[in-house]
Amino acid sequence: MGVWKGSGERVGRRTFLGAVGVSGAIGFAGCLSENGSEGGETADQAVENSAEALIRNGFEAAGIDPPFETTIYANAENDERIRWAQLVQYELNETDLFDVGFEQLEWGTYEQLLLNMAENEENCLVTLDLSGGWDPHIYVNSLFHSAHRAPNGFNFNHYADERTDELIDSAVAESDREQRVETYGALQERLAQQVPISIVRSGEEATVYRQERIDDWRQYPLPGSEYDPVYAPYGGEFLETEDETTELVGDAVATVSNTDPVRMNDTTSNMATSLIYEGLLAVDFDGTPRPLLATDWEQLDATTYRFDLREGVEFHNGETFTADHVRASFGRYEGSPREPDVYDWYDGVDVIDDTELEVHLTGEYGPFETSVGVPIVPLAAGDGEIDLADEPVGTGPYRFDEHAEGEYWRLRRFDDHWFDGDDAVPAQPTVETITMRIISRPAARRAALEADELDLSVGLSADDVADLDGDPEYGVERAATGSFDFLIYPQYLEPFDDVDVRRGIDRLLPRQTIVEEVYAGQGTVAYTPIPPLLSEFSIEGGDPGV
Amino acid sequence: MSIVRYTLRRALTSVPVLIGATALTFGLVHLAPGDPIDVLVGFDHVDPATRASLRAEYNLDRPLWQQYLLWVRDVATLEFGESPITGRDVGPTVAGRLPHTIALGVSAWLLSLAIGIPAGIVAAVDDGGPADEVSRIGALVGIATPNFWLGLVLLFVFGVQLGWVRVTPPDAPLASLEMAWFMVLPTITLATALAAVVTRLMRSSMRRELEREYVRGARARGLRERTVLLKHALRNSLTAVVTVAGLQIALLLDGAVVVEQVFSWPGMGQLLVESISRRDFPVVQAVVLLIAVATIVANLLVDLAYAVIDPRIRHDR
Repeated sequence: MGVWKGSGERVGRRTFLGAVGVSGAIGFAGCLSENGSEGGETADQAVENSAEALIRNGFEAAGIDPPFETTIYANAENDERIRWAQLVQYELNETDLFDVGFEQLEWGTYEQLLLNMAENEENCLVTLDLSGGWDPHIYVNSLFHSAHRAPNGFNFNHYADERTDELIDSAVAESDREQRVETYGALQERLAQQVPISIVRSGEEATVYRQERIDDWRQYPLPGSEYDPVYAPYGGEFLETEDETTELVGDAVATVSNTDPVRMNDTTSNMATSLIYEGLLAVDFDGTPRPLLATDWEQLDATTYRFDLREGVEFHNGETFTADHVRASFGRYEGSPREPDVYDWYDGVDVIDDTELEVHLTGEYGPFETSVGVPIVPLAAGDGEIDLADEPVGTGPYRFDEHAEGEYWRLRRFDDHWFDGDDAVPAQPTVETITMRIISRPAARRAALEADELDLSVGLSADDVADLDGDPEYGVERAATGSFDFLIYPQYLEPFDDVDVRRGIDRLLPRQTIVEEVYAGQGTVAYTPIPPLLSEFSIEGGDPGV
Repeated sequence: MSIVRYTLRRALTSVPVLIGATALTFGLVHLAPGDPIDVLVGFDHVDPATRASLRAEYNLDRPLWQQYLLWVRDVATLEFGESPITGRDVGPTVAGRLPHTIALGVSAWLLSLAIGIPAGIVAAVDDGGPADEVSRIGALVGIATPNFWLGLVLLFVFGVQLGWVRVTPPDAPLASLEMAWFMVLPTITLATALAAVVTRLMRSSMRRELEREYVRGARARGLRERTVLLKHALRNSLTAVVTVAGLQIALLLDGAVVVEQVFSWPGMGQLLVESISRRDFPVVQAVVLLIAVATIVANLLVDLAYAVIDPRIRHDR
């Protein structure tokens, strides 16, 4: 499962590969500084020596005389990626074992390089980032399973390992949590031994807001739900504005592309509609599934789940929510571009009555609870009466108000939303309208925030976030997120087919410098593909490679 | 030849150019790496049958020449199709952006002429003098300044530091004072390089005319210098400037791609960039067609302007 979007946008809820970071900083400051931290000199030296010995072993086995020539690539639109690729280049060349060149390509060409690198046996090291959701399956399936070799997935270097496939397959077809934790632990260890790719850094999302308008902000950890903190009864969150502001203005990094859930292909559209649509369940800010349009649910057997549905829920177009809406909304995915969102697990729905239904799965499915919350849409969308690509209609606390192509996207409070309020969240959002201004240049986003035209920005570069962090005018809210940067080895090619060579390079990667210098301290060093966000599943914390 | 017949003849010769330009871009767009279906399914492991049916839905399964002919057939009836990516009609999408680009382009174009022509005349008259030097340096700086940089600097100084103008477009109709005020910075950004070109061209063209016999003759006959300059030399030196100013329309669209992004201006440049990265072929095609038409029309207007400025041109053949 995975989505990846070419240009400056990030796709939420499921896996995707971010092509262009939100960076806009020009320059190269501090980029080539040394990796060593004080006091760690000798330890670093030891690591370096052992890494070089590993690489030498691999070279000897393949009969290669150093230096081995290769090229490291980054895409031209992403300054941060260019900088860290150059850091890796420098580090490898320092060993005299490699003669690494650096090249940057435009995204379209870059994408083709990625998709076809194994097919064409390209001698290249490629840098990329990937972002996933609340289930570990998303992070490993597309990247490492041999069935997902590019271009039918993100297994770019056509890594094929039976043990890896087995572990991935058994973990996804298991709904017992403890069992899954164990399997994913074993999988991460396997990947740490095999090093088909090297994970470098685990990412962080940040929102910068003006203190005079916004008191406090809680960051949703995954892209696509940036504005959920405005009103998220499922997570006990809502926005209290400092003054009597009823209008909130924020930014969006790209035009809203398609708002029909079955054709949605970018994060901006996801973000623009995440307060409009609701699903049966929602995943809260900590990753726990919570009832939304369902009030309760239980697993009857391995492949059957029973849901009690909420009563008195109204759609923005006046329809009343029933079990039929669930069936119709799931059914719309068949044959659509987003088919795998649902049809990876969905077999059918038994409608028991208006407020009760059973969902049947094609097989036991571990990520079910984090996958079942797809948007429930009105029946009018199925009849073709309304086109959700023109006007998204759901049951959420905000409804679509208006948009000016390329300029802004506006939501208005939906006064008939079902939530009656509780201790943490009032029955109605305090913010009446949310305007997302479309600003494609990172520098312009910062300018708009500083010129007081935005109350908050969700798309600042790491440098800008670090810059504004100390300023009392701004609040900065950060959250570790489900994204990571990684380096892809051409493991189909000598000497990279030798695991020692890959392990050696992995140890040489200047992870700390990348986090500190390139990303201004945003994020953490990472070694495994399951991010610390999924703390239960991730074995992150140590360096499994050493 | 009458001006009407001349116009018709020139318009007709534009048709093959248009066909050539669209065929070429159609080929380039479709041969460029990347597949819209990949974008649509998010590079996911979608069932091959679903993939195939999506491909068929947008005629992407047909040979390229057939796709082109289908496209030409639709465009002939002003039908631009539906974008596979956004699911919206391409015609209204592009048409919605067009006024913004035209407004910015025309104001930048007028500003560049308003600065370039007088500056060029002054420099030509003051040959080698201080005014000539100032205009030379000004033009050099103007041409050498990248417009994205200039735009950002203006944005920071006048938008963020001084707070005189907004950084993002106001919530106002395009034809409003607020919007006009906002457009000052993008207009300057876009006009700078063009004004520099016009200045230099105007200067050299004027200089050449001023050295001609007829100018000396006019002066000898005791005509006032003002009359000599503005009535005789200016008219003759305008031909070169008209050519460049007309052709700059295509360059303005090019510059708009950058300037529109810096100023978050919802025009065609921004649409083009986004559509290319989304492999949104129908939109890219429509925008390119529009640029081709604009260029051809600009050329036509340039030729007609010649005919007005210098009647010998249309009588030549």
